[in-house]
Amino acid sequence: MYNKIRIVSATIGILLAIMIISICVGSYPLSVNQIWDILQGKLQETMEANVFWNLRFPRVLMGVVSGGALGLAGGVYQTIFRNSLASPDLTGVASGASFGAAFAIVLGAGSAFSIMAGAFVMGMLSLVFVLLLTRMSNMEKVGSYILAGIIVSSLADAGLMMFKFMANPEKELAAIEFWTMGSLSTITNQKIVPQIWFVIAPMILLLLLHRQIVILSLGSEHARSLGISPEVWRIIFLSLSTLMVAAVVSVTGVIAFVGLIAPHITFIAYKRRNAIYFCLCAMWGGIILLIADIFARSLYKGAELPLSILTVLLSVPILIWLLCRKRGKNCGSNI
Amino acid sequence: MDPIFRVEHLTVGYQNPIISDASFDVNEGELVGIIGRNGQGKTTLLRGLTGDAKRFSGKIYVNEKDITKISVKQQAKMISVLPQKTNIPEGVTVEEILEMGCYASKPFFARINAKDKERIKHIAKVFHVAEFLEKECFKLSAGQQQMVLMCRMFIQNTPVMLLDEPNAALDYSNEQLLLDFLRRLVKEYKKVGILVIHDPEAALKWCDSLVIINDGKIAEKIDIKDSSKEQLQKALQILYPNIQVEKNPFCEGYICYLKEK
Amino acid sequence: MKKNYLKKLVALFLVFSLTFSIVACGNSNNGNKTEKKVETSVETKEIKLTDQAGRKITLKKPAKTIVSCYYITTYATMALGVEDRVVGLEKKADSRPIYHMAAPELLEKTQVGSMKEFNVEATAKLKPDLVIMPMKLSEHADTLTDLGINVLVVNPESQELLEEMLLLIGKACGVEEKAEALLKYYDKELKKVSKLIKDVKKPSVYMAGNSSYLTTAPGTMYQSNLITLAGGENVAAELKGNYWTEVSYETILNDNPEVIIIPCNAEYTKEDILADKNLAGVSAIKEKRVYMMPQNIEEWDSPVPSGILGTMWLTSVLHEKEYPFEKFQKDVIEYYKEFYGFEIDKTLITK
Repeated sequence: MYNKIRIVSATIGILLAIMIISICVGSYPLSVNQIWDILQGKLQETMEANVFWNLRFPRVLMGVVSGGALGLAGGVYQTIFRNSLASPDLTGVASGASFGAAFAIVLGAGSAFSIMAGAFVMGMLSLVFVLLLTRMSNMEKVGSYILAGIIVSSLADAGLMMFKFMANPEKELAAIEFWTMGSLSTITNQKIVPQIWFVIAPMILLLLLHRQIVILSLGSEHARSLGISPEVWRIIFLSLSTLMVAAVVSVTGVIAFVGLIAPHITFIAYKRRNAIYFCLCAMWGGIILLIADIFARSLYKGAELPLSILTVLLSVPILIWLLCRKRGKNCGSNI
Repeated sequence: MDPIFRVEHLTVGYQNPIISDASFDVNEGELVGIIGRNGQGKTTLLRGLTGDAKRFSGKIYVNEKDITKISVKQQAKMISVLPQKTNIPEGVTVEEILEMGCYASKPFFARINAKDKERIKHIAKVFHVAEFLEKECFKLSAGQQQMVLMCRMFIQNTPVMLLDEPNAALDYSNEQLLLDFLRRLVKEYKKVGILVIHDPEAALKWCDSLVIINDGKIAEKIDIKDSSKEQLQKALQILYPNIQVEKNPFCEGYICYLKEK
Repeated sequence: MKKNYLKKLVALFLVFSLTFSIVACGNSNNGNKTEKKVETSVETKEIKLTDQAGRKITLKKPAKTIVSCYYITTYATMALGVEDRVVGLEKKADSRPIYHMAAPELLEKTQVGSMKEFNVEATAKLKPDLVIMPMKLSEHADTLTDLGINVLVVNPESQELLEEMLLLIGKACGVEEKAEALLKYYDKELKKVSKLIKDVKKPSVYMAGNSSYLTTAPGTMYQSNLITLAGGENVAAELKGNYWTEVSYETILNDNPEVIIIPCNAEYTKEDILADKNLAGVSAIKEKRVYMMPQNIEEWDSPVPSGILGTMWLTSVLHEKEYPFEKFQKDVIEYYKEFYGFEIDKTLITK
């Protein structure tokens, strides 16, 4: 019990520390004193305040919220589907969103708004297709959803390949590639305003419904016996998660691995699936994403690296460390 | 007295009907054993009662209310189930599982208060699972998990309890313990217990009546106390033509064996 | 047990690193071979050339029919006055404004492919004397030579390589003197430009990318060199990388360029940048010094034969006093008259 409290407070502490570091790092030099003044309301109308409120602050905020949404979605899916390979892309939302973005870049206007809209719409449509496929298959088993997700993802990926082939290598292809690798570099406070509510609202709902999520993980029979209709609630959770993830991906592009890894880190450390587990999934998602973003904008001075490379490079050592710790406890000396 | 649980012309299955036109009643305080050969549809019938399998036609009444027409949440206040596979994932404690039973009997937004927690602890003691409350349920043995689930069922406090071969994975002594518990619960608290069981001897020992499933239909419902040895044997021979039923010379009850032709 | 495991791991790692370094070395040896050997054998009138991939080519006589595989080589044929010999060219030719203006007959010719897919059979059917091919498509070169068709592989990634390519094509077509005239023009103009900017203050310049203005050119790129030649300082010169690099608003605000340049094929316009609230504090926006290269002529921001005009355009834009835009426009009209043989519409020469 004491151990669990330690883990939760450590996670909160790390998250706050990373948020503070993230707010202080960036291409435009803002000293800690300046930031402190700006937060107190001084230095209004200066370039420093504008950079802070229009660029730096929304970027960190979106980073936390995006990472949180991805981590939470991963946690929800890994719990419901009892599958540790389940990621937020289970319903094909990331592939669908990439397809939508590529569509907008190659065939459409290519403006930031059209890319966001295209990604969001296609991301949600992928969920619709998954639900239709599972309905058609007449078997509302857990395996059907995963299979349907694979089908929809593959279709979307094929569509994406087609757009990449059609794209102009000098302009459009680079834009598509960068989008599919994810970045927070274009975040401004105008960009996040409607989308961020589509992320935060489902997050809150999912956290409130944590009990139903765990009950659903017991399987259809147990769930029904306890008053949770498996079909209805699966659709509810899939829809909320997909909405959340589609909103994130439409703004940031596809950020790999966070939704897959954060729940693993959480479960290996915390070992329980309850309300706190889901909160921790979200927090670890935010931590990984923010750390990756800090590196993305400071590794090569002035340049912005895509996020997905860094999220993978960050998560893997943590996971290996956790696996080794776990292994040492259960096994003997032989490998 | 009106039977608490009534099934009328129920047809259930998956893509196609597997059990057709099933009808039977169960009174309060009665433990019914559903008995049949492998693959004949015992589990399907049970799942049809809960709604996990498709109900093609027919009605199911609990306390004169047709549960085929109500929502899953409302149904959870009338029927609770112990499925064949315990299927409990990692990371959930025994206490959390028991609390699920408590939440099932409450409305959607209700919270568990101190009184509920007391009640849960008390019932857990009765079922001998109180010492595991803080432990992960996944780490307990199969028998202990079954007891936890039965405890949950009891906390849920529904008039009807359905169990699907709960003794399948248990060793002999745990099996006797569980079935004894079940029987006492049904009797003391006047519940309806419906038990899928494949061993005829165990069924004769623990149940009040048998529902015999054969050929996609209910062949017979027979009351054990009120029937003679010959009647019981004839009923069981629908399933096992070679079976012989004899009174147990050493204690109360019957023994069964297969006679060589 | 544990020790054995560790040893295996170390051995595997060593094998990987060795393999990787061998492959990497091998690759670095293949790129960027620039050989300048060109000879003409007077007795037999054979033309012997070594192209920019190091391949040796022999032409019995100057090429009378040419297939050009991408827009830069087609532009080269126009600049050297041999566009009438072109029988096949790249796909999407009608998207290039200069063909419509200076050589509309090119639009009727067979289109044989692009950087993504190249049609060897269509090329072979045309039976050209010479195929001019970029390095990216060079895997098809041997296929064509096996069919008996001469292939000249070129790689004009820098000013030096561009000039070499022009000489090669000139020699292959027997119009060497035209190539030399063009190179002399480059030389003359570059000298003029460097004299103009000698003692002038160099403004800081941000060169935006084609797909988004949040990408820019690091110091190693041709476009960055363009800025230096034109008497400016690329704010992204220190940036690492060889290709268009993503940056954030913060970087631009911090670098605070005095001038922003938009390349010819950009997806966005001057107005988009001027309207972007997040860049409002940048000096270039405040002074309204945001300029876009003319979109409807040629791609002056890449190493094309008319690339010198890009340098001159930028010089005029950065140093209006020393090189007035009016004069620049006149120089452009003269250039196209002399080398391309047509009268260009002055209104297309914009900023």
